[in-house]
Amino acid sequence: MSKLVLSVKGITKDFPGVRALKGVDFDLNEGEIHALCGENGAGKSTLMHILAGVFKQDVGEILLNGEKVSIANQKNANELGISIVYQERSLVGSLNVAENIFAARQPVGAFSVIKWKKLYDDTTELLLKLGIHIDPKAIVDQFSPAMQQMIEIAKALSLNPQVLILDEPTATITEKEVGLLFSLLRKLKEQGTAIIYISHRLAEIFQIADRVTVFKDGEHIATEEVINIDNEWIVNKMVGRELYFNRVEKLSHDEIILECIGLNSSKFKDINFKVGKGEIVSFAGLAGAGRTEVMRGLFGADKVSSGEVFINGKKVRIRHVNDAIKNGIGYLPEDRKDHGLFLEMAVSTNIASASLKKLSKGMNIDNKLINKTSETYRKKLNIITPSIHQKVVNLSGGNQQKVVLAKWLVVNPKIMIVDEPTRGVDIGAKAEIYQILRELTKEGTSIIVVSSDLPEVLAISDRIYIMHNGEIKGELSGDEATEQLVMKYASGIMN
Amino acid sequence: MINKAEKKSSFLSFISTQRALALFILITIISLLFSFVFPTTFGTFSNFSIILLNMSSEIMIVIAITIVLIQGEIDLSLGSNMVLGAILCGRLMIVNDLPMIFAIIISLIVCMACGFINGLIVAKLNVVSFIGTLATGMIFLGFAVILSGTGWTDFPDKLFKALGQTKIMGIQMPVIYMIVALIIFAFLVSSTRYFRQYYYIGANQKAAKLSGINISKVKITTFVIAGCLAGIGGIITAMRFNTAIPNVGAGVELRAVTAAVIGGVSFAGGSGTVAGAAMGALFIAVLSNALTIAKLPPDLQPSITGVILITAIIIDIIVTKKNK
Repeated sequence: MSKLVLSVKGITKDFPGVRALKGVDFDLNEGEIHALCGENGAGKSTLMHILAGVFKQDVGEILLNGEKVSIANQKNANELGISIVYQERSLVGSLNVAENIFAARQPVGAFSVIKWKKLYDDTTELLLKLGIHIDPKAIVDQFSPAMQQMIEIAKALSLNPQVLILDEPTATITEKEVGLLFSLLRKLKEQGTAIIYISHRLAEIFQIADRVTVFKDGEHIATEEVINIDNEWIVNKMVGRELYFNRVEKLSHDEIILECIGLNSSKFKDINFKVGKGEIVSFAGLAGAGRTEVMRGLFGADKVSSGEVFINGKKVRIRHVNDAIKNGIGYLPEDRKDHGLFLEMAVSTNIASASLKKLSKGMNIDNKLINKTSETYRKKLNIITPSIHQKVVNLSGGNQQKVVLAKWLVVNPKIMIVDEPTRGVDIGAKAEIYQILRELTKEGTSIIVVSSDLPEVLAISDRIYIMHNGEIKGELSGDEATEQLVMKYASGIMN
Repeated sequence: MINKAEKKSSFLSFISTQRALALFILITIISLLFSFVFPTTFGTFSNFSIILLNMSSEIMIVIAITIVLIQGEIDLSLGSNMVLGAILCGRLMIVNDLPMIFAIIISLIVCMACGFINGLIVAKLNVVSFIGTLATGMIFLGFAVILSGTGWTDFPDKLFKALGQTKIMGIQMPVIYMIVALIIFAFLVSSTRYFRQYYYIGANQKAAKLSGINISKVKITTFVIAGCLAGIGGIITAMRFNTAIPNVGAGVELRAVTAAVIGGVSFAGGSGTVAGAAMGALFIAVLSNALTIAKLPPDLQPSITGVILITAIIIDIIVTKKNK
C-alpha cells in the first residue's frame, strides 16, 4: 500500500444558485496518477480550484500527509506543495523560458536584482530532469503549443510539488505530442509525484492513469482501479442519470436544404453533413471538440481553408458573415452576452438589430414598425419584460435568449444555427425554447443545434452528429441515440 | 524530444524583437547620411548636443509611460503632472520663499500623491486607466493653472538655473540627467524581479495573480513612480528654461506613447524595454532635426511621425502573425 498524500473529505461548495460540490471525497497516493472524470459542470474544476487556493470550501476538510490544512490562496497552495497547470496558458510570450518558469520567483540578490546565471542554471537543471531539451534563453513565443504546455508543466514543477494537478493538459496539443507529455508524466510518477489528471478523453485515462474517480452533478460517484474497469464503466458512471425532457414530436424531411462537403480548417477536418428542410440536427460532443468552430466557419465568421457548401442544391461561397445572411443562414452564438446582444439597449432595439433594412422606410428607421414587430415577438415567444423598451440587461437569462431568438426570427432565415441555446437558462425557459425551435421547423426553417447538454440533444434532435477532436465521429438518428452511445463517440472510444 | 524553437531570423522579425538595436542601427545610418550631405549644419557636435537637449525634457515622461504601458495601463495625466511639478516648485520658491531643496522635495511628493490617486482609481476602483487618467489629468492641470498665475520665472536661488543651464564639456545638464535616468531605469526594468513583475501583469493579469503577484499594489506603485518621474521632468524643464509655465506639458504624454511604441513597447502590455523606448525617442528627435536642416516644411513633420508609428505597428503585427 503506497502512502496517502492528499485526502479530501466531505467538501461542499456553493455558488449563488448552484451547489457545485455536494460533500465529495477524493484520495491521492504518492506516485499515483489519479484521473478525474465527469461531464461539463460535474464539479471537477471547482474541486481543483479549491485545492489550488482560488476558492475556499464551505464545508469539509483537506488533509495533506495526514495533517489538516487550510489553503488560503495560490501562494499558500504552492508552499504546501500543490501545483496546478490550468487549461488556459499562463505564459508571457515576450519573455524567455527561464523567466516564465520562475515567474515572479526569479532568484535575486540585493535590491531584487535578478541573478541571471543562477536563474539559467536552475532552469537548465529543471529542464534536464524533465527531459525537455530547450534553451532557457529562448523566447516563449517561438514554441509550438505542445512545447508551451511542457513549459507550463515545468513551471508548475519548479515549485517541487508533492501534488501536481493537470487540467485538460492535452486539449490544445496534437496526438503525437501527447506521447511526449505522457513520458514526462511517467517519469514524474517514478519520482514519487502524485498527479491528478483531468481529461475528457477517456482513451488517455487507460493509457496513463492508475485510478479513476467519476464526479457527476457535484457528487462523487465512484473510484476504481483502472485495470478493473473499461470504457463502458466510466461512460455509464458519467451519464447515469434520467432524462428529464420528453421528446418533442418529429417530422419527416426528405428535401435537403444544406449540404457541406469536406470542410477543413485549422480547427476541424473533413466535415460532411446534411440538413433537411424543417429538420433539427444537433452537433454533440465535449467542450473543445470543434463544433462551434465548424458553425462559425459555415457562417463565415472564421476562415475555412477548403470544402463546399450547397444550399438548396446550389453551390454557394460564404466568405463573410454577410454572405451567410444573404444565403439565409442565421446564427445564435454560444456566448449571447458577448456576441448576440446589446445588453445596454432596449429589447426592441435588439430585436431589430439584424434587420434594420427591412424595418426602414427609405433612409429612415421606422420606429413604429420596429415597435409593432417587437411587440408581436414578445407575445409570440412569451418574453417576460415590463415593456419592449426595457434594457436587455435587466432580463433573466432565459428571456435574454428569447430576445436573441426573436432577433433572428425577424430576419427569417432558412437555416438557423443555435449554439448552446439553453446554457444558463432555467428549466422552465428551456422547455419553452425547445417548443419555439420546434414551432420554427413547422414553418420550414431548418435548425442546427450545438449543445453539450446531452438530455437536451436527445430531446430535440431529429438527427445527431457527434464530434471529437475536430472530426465528425458518428451520426445517429434521434430515435436510436442514447446518452451512452453519444458519449462513446464524443470521447473518441468509438469511430 | 522535438525542439521547435526554429530561429525566425528574418529581417522583419529582427526589427521586431531587437527593436532597440534595430533603431540604433537605423539612427546611425540616418545620421551618417545627413552628416555627409550637411557636414556643416547636421554633422556637428553642437547639433547633436542640441538634439539630445531637445529630447531630454520629455524623456522622463517616455520612461514613465513605458513602465505603465508594459503592465497594460496608460497614464494620460503625465503631462499635467509634469506641469504641476514645475509650477508648484516655482511658486514655493518665489511666493513662499522656500529654499530650493525643500521646494523640489515638496513638489515631488505632490506629484507622487497625484500618481497615487491615479493608482487607486485604476487598481482599486477598476476604472479603465485611459478614462481615469484623462480625468485626473484635467484636474491636475486645473490646479497647476491656478497655482501658476502668469507663470514663474527668475527664481531667487541662482543654483536652480545653473542646474539646468550649466554645460559640462559642451553638454548641458539636462542631457546628463536624461542619461542617468535612462541607465537607472533600463537596469531596473531589465534586471530586477520587482520590475519584471510588470511583464507578467501586462501579458496576463489572471495568470500573474495566480503566480502570487499583488497586482493592485504593484500597479499603484507604478503610477506613483510615473508621477514622480513626471515631476522630475517638469522641474528639469523649469531649470533649463528658468521658467515654469502651464503650456509646456501639452500633448507630451501622447508624444511619449509614440516614442515608446516606435521603440517596441506594446500598447496591449507585456512587452517592450526602456532601451527600446529611448531609441524610439532618439529616432524621432534625430529625424525631426534632420528634416528641419534639410529645409523640409515643418508642417510635414507630424505626418512623417505618423507614418513611422503606423509602420512600426504594422511590422509588429506581421511578425506576430507569422509566429502563430
